Amino acid sequence: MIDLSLLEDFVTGAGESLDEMENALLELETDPNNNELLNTIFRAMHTIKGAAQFVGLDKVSALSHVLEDLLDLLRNGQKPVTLEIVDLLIKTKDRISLLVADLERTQTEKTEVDDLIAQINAYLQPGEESIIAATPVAEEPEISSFEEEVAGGEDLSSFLTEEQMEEDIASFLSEDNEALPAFTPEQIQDEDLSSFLTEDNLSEDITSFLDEGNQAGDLSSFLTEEAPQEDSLASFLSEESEQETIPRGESEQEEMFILPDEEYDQELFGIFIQQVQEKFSILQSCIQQLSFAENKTELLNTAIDALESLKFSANYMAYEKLTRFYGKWIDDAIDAEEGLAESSTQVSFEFMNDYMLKLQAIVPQLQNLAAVQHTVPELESALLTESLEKLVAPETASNIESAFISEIIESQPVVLPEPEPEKPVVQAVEEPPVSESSEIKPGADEDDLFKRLSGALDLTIEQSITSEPVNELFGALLATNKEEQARAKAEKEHQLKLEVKSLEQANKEPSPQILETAATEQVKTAPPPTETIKPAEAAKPKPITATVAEKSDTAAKKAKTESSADKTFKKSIRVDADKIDSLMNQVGELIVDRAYFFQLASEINELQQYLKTVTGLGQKDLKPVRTFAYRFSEAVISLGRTSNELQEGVMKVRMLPIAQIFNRYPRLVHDLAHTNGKKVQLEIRGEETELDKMIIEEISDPLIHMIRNAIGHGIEAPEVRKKEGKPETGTLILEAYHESNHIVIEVSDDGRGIDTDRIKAKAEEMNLFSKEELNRMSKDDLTRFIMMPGFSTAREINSTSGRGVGMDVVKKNIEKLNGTIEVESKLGVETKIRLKIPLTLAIIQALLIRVGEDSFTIPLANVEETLRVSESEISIMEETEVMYLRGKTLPIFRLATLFGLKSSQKDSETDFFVVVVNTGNQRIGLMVDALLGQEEVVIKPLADYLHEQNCFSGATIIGDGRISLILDVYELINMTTDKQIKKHHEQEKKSLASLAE
Amino acid sequence: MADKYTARVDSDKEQLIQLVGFKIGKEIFGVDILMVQEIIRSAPITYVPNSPEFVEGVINLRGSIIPVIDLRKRLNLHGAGYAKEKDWILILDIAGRVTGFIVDSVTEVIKVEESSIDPPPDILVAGLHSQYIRGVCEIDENLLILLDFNRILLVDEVRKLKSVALTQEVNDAGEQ
Repeated sequence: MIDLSLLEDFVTGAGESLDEMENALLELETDPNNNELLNTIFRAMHTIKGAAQFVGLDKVSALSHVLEDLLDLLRNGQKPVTLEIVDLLIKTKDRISLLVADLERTQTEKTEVDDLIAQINAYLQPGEESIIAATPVAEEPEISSFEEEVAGGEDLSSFLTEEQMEEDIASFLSEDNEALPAFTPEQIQDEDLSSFLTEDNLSEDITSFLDEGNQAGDLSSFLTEEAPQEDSLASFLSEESEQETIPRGESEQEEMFILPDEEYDQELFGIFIQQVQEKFSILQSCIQQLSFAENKTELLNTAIDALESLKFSANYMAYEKLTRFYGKWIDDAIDAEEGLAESSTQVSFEFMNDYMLKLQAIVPQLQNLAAVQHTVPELESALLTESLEKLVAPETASNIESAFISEIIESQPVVLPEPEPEKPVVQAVEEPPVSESSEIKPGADEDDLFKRLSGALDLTIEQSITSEPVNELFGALLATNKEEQARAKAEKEHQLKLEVKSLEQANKEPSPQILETAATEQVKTAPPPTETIKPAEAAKPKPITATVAEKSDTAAKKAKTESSADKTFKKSIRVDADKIDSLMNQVGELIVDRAYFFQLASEINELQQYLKTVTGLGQKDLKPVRTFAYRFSEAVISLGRTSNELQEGVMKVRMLPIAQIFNRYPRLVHDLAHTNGKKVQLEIRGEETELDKMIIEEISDPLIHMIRNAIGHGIEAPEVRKKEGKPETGTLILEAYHESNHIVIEVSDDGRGIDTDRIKAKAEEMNLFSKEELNRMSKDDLTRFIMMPGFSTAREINSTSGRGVGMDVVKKNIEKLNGTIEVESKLGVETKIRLKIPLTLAIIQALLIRVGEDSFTIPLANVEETLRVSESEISIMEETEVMYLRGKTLPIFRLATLFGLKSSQKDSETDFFVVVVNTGNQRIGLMVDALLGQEEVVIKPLADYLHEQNCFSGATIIGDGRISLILDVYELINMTTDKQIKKHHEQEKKSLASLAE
Repeated sequence: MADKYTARVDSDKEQLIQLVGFKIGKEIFGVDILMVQEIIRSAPITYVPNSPEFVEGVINLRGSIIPVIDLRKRLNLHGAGYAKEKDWILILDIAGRVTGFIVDSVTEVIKVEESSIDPPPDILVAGLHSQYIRGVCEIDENLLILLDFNRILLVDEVRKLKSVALTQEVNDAGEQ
C-alpha cells in the first residue's frame, strides 16, 4: 500500500535527490576517484531509499538498495569506478526517475526494475574474489575482538561445549546472515562469514581465535569477577523479556530493519516517545486509583483510551511487538471492565500493574531503539564490517548469559542491552584503528555503541540492580551519551560534523573517562589485569584523533557546502504562476498610468507656456501655475521611481537562475557524446544569470537543438580531431550573461565550424537560389540558411541530427520571444551561436514610430539604428528599394505601403526616417513617417485572429490611452522576403514563359 | 411570498429569455443578455493593418485590448451607412473571447418566450446566411433575428484556417 499523502512529498524529494545525484554522477565520470562525489551520490540514493521505504515503495527501495551496495563497494575502493559502472549508475538513476514519474502519474510503480537489479548484482559478484582476499585482514581483528568478548564470558569452555549455546549463536548468526543479503548483500563478506559461522567449525574458529587473543585471558578473568552481577542482571532481564513475550514472532528480527529511516524516525520517534510518556503517566494515575476508586469503569475507560492511542502510535511506528502488547493489554482491560460490570466487586487489577511494569521496562528500551535504528541503516548500507562487529560482538557478549541469549535472539536484537557495558567500551576504544583502514566512520560506531550502552544502562539503572561502582560508571556514560543524543537530535542536518565530533569526543573525552571508571572498577574487582588493559587502550586513541582531525577538516567543509546548498533550496516558496502573472499585469497598468502622468506633466508645461503667451498673464499671476507644474512633475518623477522599483521587484519574482535549465544539459551532452562516439567536455558559465521563468521554459528546447547540433555536427570524432591537431576532447561552452535588458546565451563549440561552401552547394541543389545569387551572398547570408526549415548539409540522417529541423525550431522559438540569433563561425575552428533574449516577455523597451495617423511600436531589441535618409540615397534594385549603408545593401520597405496606410509624408519631402531592424541575421530598413521616441511598453495580447496572418505580436497602450500595435519584426521580415520570393518566382515564370514563346 | 412563488412558476412555465435588441439598418437583432458584458458608445478604434476586412480594429477598454468587428460587414448587410459617431459597440463575452461588435443602435431589453422562437428558416433572412441565426421571433409585428455569435466567430475561424491553407499553397508554390 502506498500512502498517497506521503507520495507527493516523496516525488518532490526524490526529484531533488535525483537531480543532485545526476550532477554528481556526471562529474564522477570525469573524476572517478572523487570520494566526495561518491558520498554525494550515496547520500542522495540513501535519502531516496529511506523515503521510499517510508512511503512503502518496494521497487524504488529495492533498486536503490542494490545501488547502495554497489556504491559502497566503490566508495570503499573495493571496486574501481569505471565508465561502465558510471553508466550503470546513470541507468539506475534513470530507472528511478521513471519510477518516480510513474508514481506521479499513476501512484503505482509500473516500471520494472528486476533487470537492473540483476545487472547491479552481477557487478557486485564478480568482484568477490578480489575482495575476499582483502577482507580477512579487516575481519580478523574484528573477530579477535569478538573473541575477546567471548573470552570475557563467564565460563568459556562450558559455553563452547554447550551445544545449545552453539546452536543459538549459529542460528542467530545464520539468521543474521540471511538478513544480510537483503540489506548488505556484499556476498563476499557474507560467504566469508557464513563459512566462518557454520555450526561445524564455529567452536573451532572460536577456539583458534581465542588462542590469538592476547588480552582475552585478562579480560576473561576480569569479567569473571563481574559475572555474578551480570548474571543477576541478565536473569532479571530475561525474566523481564519473558514477561514481555506476549505474542512475539520472528517479525521482530525484521522489525528493526523495517523501521523508517533516520530522516523520519528521529522526528517521529520523538513524538512517539513523548506520547508514550504522556499516556504512561495517565495510565499510572489510573492504575493507582483503580484499586480503591469508586468509578472503576470510568478509570478503566480512560486507561483503555490511553492504551488505544498508544497502540495506534505504536502501530504507526510499525512496532508490531508493542502493538500486540498494547492490544493484549486493552483486551484484558476490556475483559476486566466487563467483569466489573457483571460482578462489580471481585475484579483484580493486578494485571494492570503487571502490564505497567512491563511497559516501564520497554519504554527505556524504546528510547534506546531510536539510537540503534538511527545507526542501523547506516550500518547496513555502508559499513558491513562494522555492522558485523556490532552484531557479532554484542551478541556474543550476551551469549555468556545462556538464559538471556535465546530471548535476545528471538525478541530483542534491537536493544541488545549489553549486560556488561565495560566490554563495548573497551571495544569502542579499540575498534577505530581497526576499521580506520576501510572507513572513516568509527565515530558512528562509537556513537552507536554509546547509545546502545545507554539503553542498557537505562535499563540497569532503572532496575537498580547494579552495584554502586557500576552505577557510577553508568552515570558517567549516561551523561556523555545523553549529551550526544541531544546533539544528535539538534544537529541532524549536520550529520557529518556530528560524526566527526562525536568521534573526537569519544576518543578524547569519554574514553579516558570510561577507561578511568572502568579502571577503578577493575581495581576493585580484578586488580591485576588493569595495567595490561590500560596502556594498550590508552595508546590507541591518539592516532585516531590525528586522522580524525584531518578528516574532520574535509568533513566540515563538506558539511558547510551541504548546509549552504540546503539553504538555497529552502529559501523558496511556491506561488501560483497565475498570481504572479496578474500582479505583473497590474504593474503593467501602473506603467501605462505612469506614462500617462508623464504626458500630463508635459501638457501642464505646455499649458503654462500657453497661459504666458496667449493670455499675457504676468509672472506673478503665473506663479501658482508654475509652482503646481513643478510640484506635479516632482510627484510624477517620484511615482516613476517607485513604479520602476515595483516593476523590477515583480519581475524579479519571476526570475529564476538559468541554472535551472543549464543543469539539465550535462546529462544531454553526456548521452549525445556517447551515442555519437565523441568526446565532449561541457563548460557552463554564468549559470546564476537570472531570467523570466516563462523564457526559461521557452528556450529549453532551442538550447537542446543547439547542443545537439554542436555535438552532432560541430565537434568532430576524436580521430579526426587528433589529425587536425586539436585536443581529442571537444569543448562545448554554454554561457549566459546579461547585456542591458537582455540575456545573452551563447553556445559555442570548437568543432569544424560551418562550411559555407557546402551550404552554397546544398542551396543550389535545393534550388533555393541561382548560382549567381548564391555567389553574391555574404557569408552571413549563407550561414543563415542553416535556419531554414528542412535545410541540412548533413549527408546522413541519424538519430540526433540531419533532418534540418533543429535550427528552424531554434529560430522560431527565439523570435517568438522577441529574441535574436547570431551565428558566428570559423571554418575548422569554432561555431558560436548567440541568442539574445529580452529579460521578460511582458514589458519591453520599444521605439514608437508613426505612420500616417497611427503609431506603431517596434521592440528596441530589433532596432539596430535609426537613419534619416534623403531620397537620393535610395535606389531600386529588382523592384525593391535599397540603400547602401556602410558598404552593404539594405532593402527598404515603406511601412505605409506594407500596411496599406496613407502616409502623411508629403511628396515634396525628400527626407525619410528609416528604422533599421534586424532579427540577428536579416536586416531591413522600415521607412516611417516619424519617430516618436523610446518608451517602456507593456505587451498586451491581441485576439488570435488578429495575431495570425499579420505582423503584430501584440499591442500596447501608450500614454494618451491610445493603442499602438507592436510590430513582429520577424514576421515582418518574413513577409517581405516572401514577397520577394514570390516576385522572384513570378519573374522566373515570366522569363520561362517568354522563353517558351 | 406567494406572488414570488407563482411568478417563478410562471417563468418556469414560459421559459422567458431576455434579449438585448439592436439594430443594423432596418433589421432588429437580438442577443442573449447573459452574453453582453457592456454596451459602450463608440471609442477610438485603432486600425489593425492586414487584418480580416470585417475587423474594424482594436479598442482600449480599461486596459484590455479588444478587437472590434463591424457586424454589418461581418454579416454582409449592406444598408444605408450611419455616421460613425452614432455607433454603439456591444461588448460580448463569447465563450471567454471578449469582442466588440459595432451596431447602429441598441434597443431596450426584450423578453421573449423560449417557445416563441422559431428555428431559422433555410432561406436567407434579410439577406443573412442562416448559419449565423439561432432563431427568429416576432416582436410587435417585427421580425427579430437572434444571432448566434458563437458561429459568427466560429465561421471566422474556419475562414482563418482557410486562409492559412491558402498561404501554405502560396508558399508551396513559392518553393517549387
